[in-house]
Amino acid sequence: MSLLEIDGLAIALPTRTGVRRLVDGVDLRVEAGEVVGLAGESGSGKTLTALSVLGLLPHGAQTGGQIRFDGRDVLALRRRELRRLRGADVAIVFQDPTTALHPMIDIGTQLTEHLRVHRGVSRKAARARAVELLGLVRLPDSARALDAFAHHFSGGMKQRIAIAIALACEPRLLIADEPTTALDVTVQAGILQLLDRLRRETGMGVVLITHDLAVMNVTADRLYVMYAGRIVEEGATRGVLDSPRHPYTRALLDALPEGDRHGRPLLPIPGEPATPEARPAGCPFHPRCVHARPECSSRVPELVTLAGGRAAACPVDPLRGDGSSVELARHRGG
Amino acid sequence: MLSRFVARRFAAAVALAFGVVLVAFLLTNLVPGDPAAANLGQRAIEDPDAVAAFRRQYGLDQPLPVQFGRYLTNLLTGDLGRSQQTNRPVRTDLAEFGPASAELALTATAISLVLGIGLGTLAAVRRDGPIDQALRVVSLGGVSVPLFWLALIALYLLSFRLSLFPGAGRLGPGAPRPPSVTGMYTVDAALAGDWATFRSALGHVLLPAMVLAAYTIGLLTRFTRSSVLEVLGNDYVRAAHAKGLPVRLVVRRHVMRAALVPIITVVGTAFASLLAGTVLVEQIFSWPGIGSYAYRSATTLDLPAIMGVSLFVALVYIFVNFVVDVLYGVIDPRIRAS
Repeated sequence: MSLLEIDGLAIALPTRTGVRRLVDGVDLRVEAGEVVGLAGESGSGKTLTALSVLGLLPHGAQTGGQIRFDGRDVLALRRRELRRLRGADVAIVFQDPTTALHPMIDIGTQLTEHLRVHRGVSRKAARARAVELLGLVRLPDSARALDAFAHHFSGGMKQRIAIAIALACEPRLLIADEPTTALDVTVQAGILQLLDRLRRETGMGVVLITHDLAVMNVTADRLYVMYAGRIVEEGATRGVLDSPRHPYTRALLDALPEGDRHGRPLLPIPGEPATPEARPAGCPFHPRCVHARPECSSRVPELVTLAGGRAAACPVDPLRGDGSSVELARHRGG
Repeated sequence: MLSRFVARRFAAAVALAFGVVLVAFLLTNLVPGDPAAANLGQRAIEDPDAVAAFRRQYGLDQPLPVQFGRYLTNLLTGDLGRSQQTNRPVRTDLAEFGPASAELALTATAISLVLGIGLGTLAAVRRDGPIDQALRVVSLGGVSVPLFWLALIALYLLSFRLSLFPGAGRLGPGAPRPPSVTGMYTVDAALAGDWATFRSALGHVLLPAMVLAAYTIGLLTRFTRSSVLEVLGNDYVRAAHAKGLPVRLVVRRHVMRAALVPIITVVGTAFASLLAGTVLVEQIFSWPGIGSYAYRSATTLDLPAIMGVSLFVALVYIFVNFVVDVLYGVIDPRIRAS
C-alpha cells in the first residue's frame, strides 16, 4: 500500500458557464520518503488535485474517484476526521508565503497553533518545538523570530517559516504547491535543497507541484505531467525529462530557458492552454501539437503503460517522430 | 515601540484639541444674533445699562482676541465660563448632563458593536443564504430610517401601546436616584448593589439606546460583512484551514483579527453619528443629557454653554479617534512601525 493512492480522481467546479470538469481521471501514487513531481501549465488541474487531498476544494466542488491516504478514503471522511488529518498527517506549503502567512499573528503562534490543537501540548512545550522547527529550516536567530511578524522577513525566509509550519506536527505527506515560484531565483535552490533534506531526514512523502521542469529535474524522483485536467505522461524524472514520450512534455522542455541549450532557440508552445470552458474534443493538446494527426481530434488517448514504469497518453512517439528529440535526450544525459 | 506610537498619537490629539477650541470659538462668535437680546427679559433689553452690564459680565464688551485669550486661560484652569440660562458654571452643567448622555451613547455603542459585528460576520459566513438576504434588508432599513421617526414609533408602539419598555426619563417614579459615582445610573446602581434601581435604569436606557443604535447597527453589519468576506478569500485563511484548526478558531483568530481594522475605523465615525443623534433622541425621550442641553443653549444663544458642549463633544470625538488609532497599532503590527 502506498502512502497516497489517487484513483480516477475527477473534480468538477461551478463556473460562469456551468459546472465544468477540471480534473478528469487522475491516477497518482506517492510512497513514503519519495518526492513526486506534478508538472503542467497554469489551469492544468495540479493545484486542484493537491487541494482535494486535504479536502480544501472551493465551495461547490464535486468529486469522483478515490483518494486513499494510508488506506483511508479521504473523500469519504467526515469534516471532523478531515480536520484531524489536515496539518497533522498531511500538510501543505502554498505558492506565495507573503499571502499564506497571517500578517497580524506572530510567527510563534502560527508555528504551533495546530500543534496545540492536534496534540494538546502546553504553551511552553509548543514554544520549544517552534524554536526547534525554525532551526530545522535553518532560520537564523530563531528564538527572536517567534515574537516577530511576517513582514519582518524576506520572501525566502517566509517560505522557510511556512515550511516549518507545515512540519510542526511531523506530517507523513507534504504537499508543496509551487513553493519556489514566488521567490527570487537565488533563493529557489535553497528551498529545494531544504525540501530534499527534510524528506530524507523525516521519511515523509512529498508532492511537489510546479510548472518549472528545471525544478523537477533537481528534486523529484518521479514525475507526472498534467494537461487540461489529465495526466499525459508519468515515469521516473530522469527518464521523462531525457526522453519525453508525450509531445506536451517535449514542448514544455523546449520552452525551458537553460544554460546548456548551445544556441538552440527557445520554442514557446503555440496557442493557448486549453481552458475548462473551451476544452477541445479528442486529445486536448492536439490544437497545439506539432505531431497531431486527424484521429487526435476525435479520440481521447488513454494513458498507456510503457517499459521502465513509464506511461504516456499519446499514440505518436515523439522520439521516433522527430529527430531533434533524440539529440535533446543525449544532451541531457551527458 | 507601542508606547512611542501611543505618544505620537497623543501629541496629535492635543494639537487637534487646540484647533477645535479655536474653530468652535470663532464659529460661536460669528453666529448672527445678540446674546443679550436672547437672554435678557423684555424690560431689561430696553435699559442700556442692563445690556451693558450683561455684556460686561460675560466679557462681551472686549475685542474678540482678548475674549479668546481670556477663554483659553480660563479653560486651562478648568473654567468653562458660566451658562447664561442656568446661571451655573458650564462645567457643573456638563458634569450633570454628560454622564446621562454617556450612558445612552455607550449603551448604544455596545448594542451596535455586538449586533453589528456579530450579524455582519454571520452574513459573510453564510454568504448569499437566506440569513444573509434577511440581514441585508434589516441593515438597509437601519441605515435608511430617519431617527426621529423611529424614535417616535418606538416610543408609541413599544412603550405606550405594548408597555414592553418604560416611557421617557432615566428612572421609574418609584426608583431612588443612586448615589452618584459616575453619574451613569445603571453603573452607580450596580456599584451600590441596588438591583431594583439598576433594572429600572437599564429599562429606561435600553429603548432610546436601541433607537440610537439602529443606524450604526445597519452600518456595522454591512461593513463587517464586506470586510469579513474580503478576508475570507485570503490565502492565510485557507492556510489556517489547511492546518486543521477548528472553524471557530479560524474565524476568531485569523479572520476577525484582519477584518477588525477597517471595522474599527467605521466604529470611530459611527460614534460621531451617535453623538449627533443624541440631540434628537434625548429630546424625544426627555433624556436630560448633553443633547437636550445643546438644544436649549443653541436656541437661547447661550454662548458659554454652546462652547462647552462643542468642546465636550469634540474632545470625546478626539478621544475616540485616539483610541481607534491606538487599537490599529495593537491589532496590526505593521501600522506600529510606520
